[in-house]
Amino acid sequence: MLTLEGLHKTYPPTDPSQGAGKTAPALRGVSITVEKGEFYTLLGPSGCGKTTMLQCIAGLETPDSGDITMCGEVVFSSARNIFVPASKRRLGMVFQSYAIWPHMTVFENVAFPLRQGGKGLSKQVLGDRVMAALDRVKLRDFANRPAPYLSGGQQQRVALARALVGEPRVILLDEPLSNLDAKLRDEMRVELRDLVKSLGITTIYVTHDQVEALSMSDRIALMKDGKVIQEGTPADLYMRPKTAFASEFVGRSNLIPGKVVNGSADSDYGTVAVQFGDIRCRLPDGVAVGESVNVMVRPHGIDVNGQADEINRFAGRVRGTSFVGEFLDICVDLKGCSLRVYASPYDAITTGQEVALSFPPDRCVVLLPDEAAISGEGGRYSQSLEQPSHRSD
Amino acid sequence: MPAAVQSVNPSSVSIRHPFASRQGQVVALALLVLLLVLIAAPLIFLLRASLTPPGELPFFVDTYSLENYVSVLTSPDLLDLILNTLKYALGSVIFGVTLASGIAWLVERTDIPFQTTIRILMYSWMAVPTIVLAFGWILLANPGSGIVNLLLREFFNVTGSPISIYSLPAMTLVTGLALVPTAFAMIAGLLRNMDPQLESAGAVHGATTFSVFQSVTFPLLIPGLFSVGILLVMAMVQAFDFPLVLGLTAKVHVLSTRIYLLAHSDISRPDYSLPATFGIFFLVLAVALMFAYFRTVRMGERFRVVTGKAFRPRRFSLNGWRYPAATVVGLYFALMLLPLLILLWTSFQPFYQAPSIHALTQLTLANFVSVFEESQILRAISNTVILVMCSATLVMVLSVMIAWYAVRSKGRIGKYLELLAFAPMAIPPVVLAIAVLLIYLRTPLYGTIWLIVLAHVSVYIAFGTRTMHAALLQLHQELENAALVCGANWFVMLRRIVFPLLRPQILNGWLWVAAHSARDITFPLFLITATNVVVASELWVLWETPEIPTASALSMVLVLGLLVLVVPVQILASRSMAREAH
Ligand SMILES: Nc1ncnc2c1ncn2[C@@H]1O[C@H](COP(=O)(O)OP(=O)(O)O)[C@@H](O)[C@H]1O
Ligand SMILES: [Mg+2]
Repeated sequence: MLTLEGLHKTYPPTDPSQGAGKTAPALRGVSITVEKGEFYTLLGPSGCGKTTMLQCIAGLETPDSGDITMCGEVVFSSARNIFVPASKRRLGMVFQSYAIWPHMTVFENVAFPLRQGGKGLSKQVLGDRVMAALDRVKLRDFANRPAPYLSGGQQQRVALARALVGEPRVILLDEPLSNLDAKLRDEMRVELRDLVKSLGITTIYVTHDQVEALSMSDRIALMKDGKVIQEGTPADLYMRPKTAFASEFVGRSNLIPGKVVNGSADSDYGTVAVQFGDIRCRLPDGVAVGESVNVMVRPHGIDVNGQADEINRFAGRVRGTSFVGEFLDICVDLKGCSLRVYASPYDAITTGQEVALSFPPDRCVVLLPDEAAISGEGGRYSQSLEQPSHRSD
Repeated sequence: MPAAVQSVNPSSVSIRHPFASRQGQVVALALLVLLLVLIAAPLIFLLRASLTPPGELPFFVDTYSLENYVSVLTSPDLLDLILNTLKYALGSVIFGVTLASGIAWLVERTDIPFQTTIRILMYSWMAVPTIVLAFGWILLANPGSGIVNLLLREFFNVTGSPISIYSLPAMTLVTGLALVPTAFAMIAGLLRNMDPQLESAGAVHGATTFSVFQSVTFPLLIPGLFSVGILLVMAMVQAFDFPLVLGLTAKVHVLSTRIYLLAHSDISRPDYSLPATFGIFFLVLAVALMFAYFRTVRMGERFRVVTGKAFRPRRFSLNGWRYPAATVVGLYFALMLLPLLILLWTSFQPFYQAPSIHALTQLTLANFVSVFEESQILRAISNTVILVMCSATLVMVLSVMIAWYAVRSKGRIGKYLELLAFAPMAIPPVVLAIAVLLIYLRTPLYGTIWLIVLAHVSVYIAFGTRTMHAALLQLHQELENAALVCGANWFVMLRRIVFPLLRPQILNGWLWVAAHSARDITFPLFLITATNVVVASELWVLWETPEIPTASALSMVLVLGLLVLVVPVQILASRSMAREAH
């Protein structure tokens, strides 16, 4: 449906006096394939190149090299010197600032795509289609309102109606919820996904918010520094992150440094020796005995005071607790290694108490060191206590 | 950011809000009284003067009479005057704004080469006084010895004077050209503040480049262009310099020059009551325009898109047209330079003559020698330095304080202060000049440079307050509160926090006021005596004498002095703008 192959983009320096070659590339060889009707999300921290990528797809930026194919039609190819302009790509797009034209009414804003390119729709058909689009976003009554007299949420809906009205091949959304307040954002998340899914439109969604990405997407591409680090379903990304960066950007995690002590030829499982003992877990391909690795466990993945016959069971002492409501956030010291654990709020756990932690082997993910090194070493645990920093760009 | 922690004597620590403090209130009241004296009092005198019987000064009679109003309303040429004024203002503004919009679009939205250079040239142009330009145009295109006419006669075999600067259309045209840099600055601002996503949205949803321009960019710019236009019409209705230098010879009178002529009659004792009455009419016209301006500005506010981002505009690719476009802009600058070049040439000549091989042999420095030797000219130069330094500094200090009250205080006094400070926008300088003359004619201030300083402060405070108002809105109040909590008093807070943080804007405002104070001829001419002459009024005197080569040399000295002041700052400013755009 939509494929990008080997996209590279470096912006020219803004200040000419700085000279060329000083800006870091915004995209370094990105390749993705999006299926028809799929809800595909580009997730990553601010400045990682998501907007750039979306603008390349839209035809608002020109990549330095690579190919973009849409429904079998090549819309960009550096090798073949093809560039289809934005207005000919038949797309819908919701901009981060919504870009609702303030000199038009809601109706005129939404009618705009239908009036372009000499489609020659009769007044009647045009009006019907615009009203149908406004119906879908529940704004029928606002059709004649001048655009400046809309709230943020309403502007967002107008932008959505405008993007959908022309029956685009792909709809592109650039952090559409980031300008809404928290409550509205939760509502719109569900509404937006239901809407595009019910229409069966292929959707590319850009966000830096892991909750949005996980809850809305069919598939996610996690980006960092202009590259796709990992691609997969939300469950893939959460349960089987391939790098320390992925494990920390999507959800919270404990990273426990250790060394592989043995593997076995007949099964995927092996043992990793960490500071407080040996953890038995599944080893990734190509890991050698003696290698330094990180074992990643989610705070939710650790059992507190489970059955005594579980493997990977260790005793520790609770150093602090914080009652969150949905769960009890506790910090446990295991022979000098502190771990973040989410226990049931019904367990009466208090500071200073001894607890037994067990690590079910299929919940432990072994991350290779060179990959782990991407996000830098040191202070690992204290970093993972915080939310991934969500700077808005 | 410099912390405003002061070592204060604990007993004097006051963290009460400045409005509550006595100090703050005293300052606010003092400012209010000052503005009333500077701006409201002259207008009251003007009104009083218009109601005195003809030929009397308002101090010496206690009778009221409507005679002046009758004679103004029944004067046969009142309608002509108003029509001329409007034709001149509208014509020059339409021409200037159209040209400026084109150049601004090229510089802000396309990949035209030499963007920074064009910007610097535009912003530095305020260093060239209008009166100097007008002299240059006269030398270029007067019907007798104007170079253009000489060339036409020589090479195209025409007779007579095909081109004359002394006509309403010519005057309108050169005024329009001179207006471009001001209009450029405003329109470039409009373009920079427009969210480029609005245009991208058009492109993605099927619109071609042209139809994006037609259905998005242009309609969005209209309210802004309109309010820029009205603001400039307001300024051009009040304009005095081109109409004086070109219009008097052309016998094309506008309201401002008529008032000047009435107040400076050569044949009879000056009668100030009739010009005062004309002034009242003029004032009414200007105030009406001002209301129109506010209406359009409010309309434009509706269109403003609420995003507080710095935009990276998408630039339109001119491809093969890059250099042709730059050439057109270059031609504009060349046209603007012509008047200066001819003055430069003349300043090295014993008497005015068109450039020729023969004339080249007569180059002389005598004019510059006399500029720096004649005591009258030397006095004009030193007076100008005093005038420029004092009025610019006073205006900026007062403006920061007034704007601070207007922005920060929720009370009434702030509103009054702002309204009063803004009023001079609607008071034509000639009107204020007559009013100032009426008030101070019999005081010791009359005939000193300080009276002109005072008048300039009254006029330019409107500009200063407006720029400082905009700048202060950007400054988070907590920065100031932090200083107050640390024990700084109001003055310390202004000096240590507000002034340093707003330094770039203050410097720019200072420069603007300095340049305009140096080029203004309205107040220096209305208030002229032997002792308070400044360069601008001395130029006019020399030109009228006529001592054209000396006037040319003095023009060059003035332009050079202003360039030295203005250009370095503009270069720095556009550098830092390029950096911020990143
Ligand atoms: N128009 C531009 N000119 C120069 N640099 C840009 C431009 N747009 C983006 N960049 C740079 O490219 C990188 C990626 O930006 P962007 O795609 O906007 O990131 P994201 O949307 O993921 O936050 C950033 O380092 C940004 O500064
Ligand atoms: Mg972005």
